[in-house]
Amino acid sequence: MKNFEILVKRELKILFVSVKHILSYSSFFLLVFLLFAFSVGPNLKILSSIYLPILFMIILFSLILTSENFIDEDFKNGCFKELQFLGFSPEQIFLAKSFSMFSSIIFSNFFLIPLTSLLFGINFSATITVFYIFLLSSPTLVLLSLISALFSLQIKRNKFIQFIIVMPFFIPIVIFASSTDIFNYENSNNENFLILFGFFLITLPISIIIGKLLIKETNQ
Amino acid sequence: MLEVKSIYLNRNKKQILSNFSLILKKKTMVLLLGENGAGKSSLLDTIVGLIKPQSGEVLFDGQTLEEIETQKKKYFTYIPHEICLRDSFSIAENIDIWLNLHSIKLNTKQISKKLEVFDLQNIKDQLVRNLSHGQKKKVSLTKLLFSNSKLWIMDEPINGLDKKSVQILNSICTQHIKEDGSVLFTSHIYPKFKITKKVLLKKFCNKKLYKNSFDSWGKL
Repeated sequence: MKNFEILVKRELKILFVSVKHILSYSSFFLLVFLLFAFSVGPNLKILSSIYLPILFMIILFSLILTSENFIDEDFKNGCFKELQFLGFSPEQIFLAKSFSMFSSIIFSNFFLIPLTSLLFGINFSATITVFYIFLLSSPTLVLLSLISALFSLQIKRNKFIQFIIVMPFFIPIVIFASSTDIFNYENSNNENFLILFGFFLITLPISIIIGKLLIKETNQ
Repeated sequence: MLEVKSIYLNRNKKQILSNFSLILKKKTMVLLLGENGAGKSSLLDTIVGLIKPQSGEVLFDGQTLEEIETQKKKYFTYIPHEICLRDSFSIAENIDIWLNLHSIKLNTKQISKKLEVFDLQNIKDQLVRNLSHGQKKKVSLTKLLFSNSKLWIMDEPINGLDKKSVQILNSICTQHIKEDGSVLFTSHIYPKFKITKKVLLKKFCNKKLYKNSFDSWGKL
């Protein structure tokens, strides 16, 4: 447990001293959101109805694009190898990286979601609901996108295979996250929340096992 | 201190080590000499537990790698041929991260004193990305001065170093041996170090052995 704490501290230090991960995620997120807003037009009714699907699609693609940053540098400069021969298990490394990535998107979206919801005419209570959905779905998305980044190290940057292997697993999360009725949250049946949490509970052990194997494979 | 027992190692579909054994006692400096591709780095990676050999075992003070899994940093300090430094951080920040990973607490004065050995004190605030290859190598080797372990393992430590730095490395290794330590390092050229024993590694064979390249999946 102490080893894991040391690793998490390292990852958080890297994340917050060099803010490039947060900046690249936020800039991509904002850019795509603005492009959507401009392409749909000023009709707030239309914008608010498509807010959630757009939000999750952008979160998904931002995560896939930025997840490599969390793995790539450590892999290229040998830090990945160093962590392993220092006695940190691949599971600990994977979880610490996931935690760091999760922190980065929580930090970014804490500002980005209210900002974009204003732009799309979403009221305050609906924004809070969006936050709930985001908090429940993002851990699963983070785990899957890290697996995707580790695959890209393994399969020599062949994005096509990476997308075929990992993309189908993102689809259920996006469906259940974006189909929640954020404007009628109090009255509606909130089983989507449970389903999203269930997805996380299923994804966590599976991704730890696959992450461990992929990290071990990087030494071969 | 270190015992390598009958290692058989296959990599990239070729056998690179066959029945390799080595004993490293206290106060000894062993050089693994061999041409490029002879398997020096693979052997060191096997010793530190990054690669699992087909058969054979590695013992540190009579204990297997599995037994010391989370305590590896107490038994040895490994400097691989990769730099293991983060480009976007300064020398001082990189050293700080490394010290945290080892749970070593030192004050600024103590750190500065160690950095002076390789003349890094004046450039300690420079980003690693702005350093030359030789300077990066010196930062990497400086980690040895902070370590508490008795066994130092280095992969091609003199690569990229100037004459003065090679002499400094020789003197710190000699000092380490005087203090009951031991050193195992690889090189493709014969350095002017006070070496106790030289082990010549030759390219074993080029015969293709097996097709399976994704080993770990079998362990699921």
